[in-house]
Amino acid sequence: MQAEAAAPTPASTPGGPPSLPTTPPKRQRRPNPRIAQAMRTWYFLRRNTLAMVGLGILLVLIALALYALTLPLSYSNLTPYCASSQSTPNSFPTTGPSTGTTVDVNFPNQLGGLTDGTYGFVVETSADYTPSPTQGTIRVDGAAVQVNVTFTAGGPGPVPVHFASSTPPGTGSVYAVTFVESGLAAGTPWSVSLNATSPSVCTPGFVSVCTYPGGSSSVGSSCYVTPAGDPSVIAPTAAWSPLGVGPLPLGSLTVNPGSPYFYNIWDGITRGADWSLLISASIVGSGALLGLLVGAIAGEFGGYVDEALMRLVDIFLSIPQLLLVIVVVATLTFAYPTIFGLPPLDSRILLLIFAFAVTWWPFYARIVRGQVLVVREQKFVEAARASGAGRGRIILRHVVPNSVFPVLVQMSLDVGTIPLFIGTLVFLGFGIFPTLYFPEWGSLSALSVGGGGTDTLTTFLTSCQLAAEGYGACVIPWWQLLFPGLTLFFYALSVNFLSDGLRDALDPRLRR
Amino acid sequence: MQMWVYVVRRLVLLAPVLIGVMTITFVVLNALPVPQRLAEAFGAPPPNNPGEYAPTIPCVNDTAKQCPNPVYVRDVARLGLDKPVPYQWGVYAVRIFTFQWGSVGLGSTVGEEFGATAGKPVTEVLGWFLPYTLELAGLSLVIIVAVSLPLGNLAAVNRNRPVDQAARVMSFSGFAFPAFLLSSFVLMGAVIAVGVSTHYFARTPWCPTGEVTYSEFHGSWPQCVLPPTNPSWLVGGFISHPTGFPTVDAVIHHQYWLALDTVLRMILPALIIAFGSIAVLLRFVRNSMLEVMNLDFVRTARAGGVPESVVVKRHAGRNSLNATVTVLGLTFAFFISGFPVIEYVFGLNGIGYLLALSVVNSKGQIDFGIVFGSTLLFTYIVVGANLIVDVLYAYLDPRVRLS
Repeated sequence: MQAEAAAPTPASTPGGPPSLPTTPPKRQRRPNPRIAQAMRTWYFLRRNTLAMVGLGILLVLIALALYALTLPLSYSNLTPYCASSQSTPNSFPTTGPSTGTTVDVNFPNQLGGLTDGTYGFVVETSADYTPSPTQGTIRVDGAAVQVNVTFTAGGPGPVPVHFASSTPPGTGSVYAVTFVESGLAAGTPWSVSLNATSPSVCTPGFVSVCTYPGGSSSVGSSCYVTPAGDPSVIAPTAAWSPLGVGPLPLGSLTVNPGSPYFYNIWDGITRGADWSLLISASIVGSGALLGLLVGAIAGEFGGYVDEALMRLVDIFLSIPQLLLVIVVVATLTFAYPTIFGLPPLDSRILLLIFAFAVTWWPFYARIVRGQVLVVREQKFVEAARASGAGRGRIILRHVVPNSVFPVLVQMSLDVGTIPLFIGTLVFLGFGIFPTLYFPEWGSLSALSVGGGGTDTLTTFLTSCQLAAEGYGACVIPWWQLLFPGLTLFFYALSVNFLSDGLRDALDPRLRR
Repeated sequence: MQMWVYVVRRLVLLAPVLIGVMTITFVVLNALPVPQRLAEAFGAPPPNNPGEYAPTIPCVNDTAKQCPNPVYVRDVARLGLDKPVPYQWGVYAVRIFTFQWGSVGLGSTVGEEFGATAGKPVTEVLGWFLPYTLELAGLSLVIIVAVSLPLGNLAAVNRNRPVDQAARVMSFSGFAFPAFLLSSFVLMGAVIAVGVSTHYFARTPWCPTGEVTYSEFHGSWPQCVLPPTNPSWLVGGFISHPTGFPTVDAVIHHQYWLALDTVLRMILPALIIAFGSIAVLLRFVRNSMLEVMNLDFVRTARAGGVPESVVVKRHAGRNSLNATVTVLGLTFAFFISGFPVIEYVFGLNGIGYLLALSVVNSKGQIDFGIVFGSTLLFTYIVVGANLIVDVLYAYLDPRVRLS
């Protein structure tokens, strides 16, 4: 150490690796060696193409998570959409028999009744008559509705259609809507059109239903026109829009093929960025903290403490990780539906983090202990001890900072595996999140092939097997299988590249 | 130290690990409410009597009142749940080490999927499903070693060249691509492109001319609806399975095409498992090879004019192999986690499938007997594998057992 310090400072050539800290001039505070090491690591990391690619992908995903934070959306559940296989407004023209007296046009006959909501209507007849009212809105609200239409002779004929916009339906009960005609000559045809929500497709109770805005024959923001046969399968649409509403840039996610409900994959991936990064960071962080503590204690105290703690680590490491997670999650979520009086979502996620941290700390404990055993023999620790530093100070000021980099490598590796683990759990049918449609990458990609008790893949495969026999069409929504999985894959891959580059950059033996 | 002394020492050191693993599952088990702990030990109640383990039931003479449930009281006493925790631990330890690992629930998904398992002891059921898993694990391990040893050496020799980068990307891709997606894609490809049935990988349709039914479980084989003339090796409509290992059984019955068929169908699932966990071994082989290549004796050999291929093969390769053996155990512990998903997707009759079925929570009934039983079994397999690896390492490198 002394001889090294006396040696002349190796001048760092411009563009070359920053030199390791050497003895600074006197009366100057010694620069933090960790900063110099970080700069050195960065120098070597920058020259590793794969690590840089990984870092780039990771930064993009983090940007996505930050972008999602600014969106005013529900974070606990994906927004469901409803599909319609009709391409024109759901109008139900009814031609009344022209008797010249009061005639009922009963909409129950056409629609099976109308659910609660507001509907626009328009009345049409030949040019010889003017209906009154010609158009308007009716509100179905818990009772049958009757509209009296009076025709007067002479007039402009059919009026331009200006529908009022509809409101989402409410209770699900249906009520009759009757148009009563008067003043029309016998034999004159007339008709009433309603622009309705499409209750025959979209069941009430969902957040969004298909609506047709006034005056247009194009569907509303939360309704999607789908190919006939499989209403829930929507290919990626070219038009871009922010989350939640509008076109689906990455297509639809359906877990129940054939039903009209589906989810926006782009919405899920963006909001999943938040949850995935948050959950994996907190799991790895708490696991690393626990492991740091155990490892530091084991290495510093040695003897029986070390022996006991390391045997515990061995025991934990011999249990396959996924199985330990399964056992702990299954047991805890069963035993404690809620904890600390928190809402189900918060309790579940806290339990999840706890269960994962329980399985993750031994790796860190082992790394930190090894590092402690190396560091404690170093001269500077000896010097600190000689100048009267206590155990706690030595651990906190010397041992822990020197184990930060190996722990960081392991952390960056583990951060990528956690969404994979969560996806596996969801795929196996665990209800680890309070809702099935939780925006999390692992959960999304598991649901895309069938998780949580659903069997999406089998349904698609069955449709293709039937298609081969000549029944129906073989529908494989590649976007649904591809995009969530690709996100997960790129995330895990990028952190793997990054941690591999970090390891190479930190290990001088492999750098030669 | 003699070899056998070393083995005995390692065996003695095994005891604390076995007890420790059991204690961890005991601690986790303790978090469950009492009825679920009873269900874990004695099987989940049948669907027609979900309240079998309720603490109180309506009294016989006055149904308006609640009386203690005699079944509950009896079984709580059997597990010692009315006693202090150390006593409960003792009861649990005795249960585990006498192979009373609980029972399969009558109303659980496992019991429904495999009717023969309902109400049976967990150890017996696990014994039925274990052979297939072991065969699959063995095949995957062979693939992993066969790929990662040469590829790791190649990557180390061509460090930071395209070969190394390609190996790195491949191994990390396997690590980063979720197994459930990959296996689903493979199954999809097989079904759509090749046109096989979704049951293709699961069970060999080995019946000579008859039909196959998939309703019952018979030692990894399907039941066979047989033509009138039964081959001698078919007993009562299904193959007799003296060992339970499908390939071995087929060979015993001299059905060699059947054994080959079984192995061929296992290859794709085994490849997926291997792809997912090749990274651990491949990276380790590469790094240990790099370290050895920098050692003095390698430089000496090179300086002495030994051809590079011989240096790589004889000098560096042999010496890096020793260290590689130690991670085999780690690899094993890692890739065994992939079994529930792979066996679930392909419908393979192994313990992973059993575990995957046992946690399906659609009816709110997790089969805790299977969950804890298979976790213990997998862990003990890993512990055993580590023991074998250690002994192997001591055999390869005498310094280990001499120190």
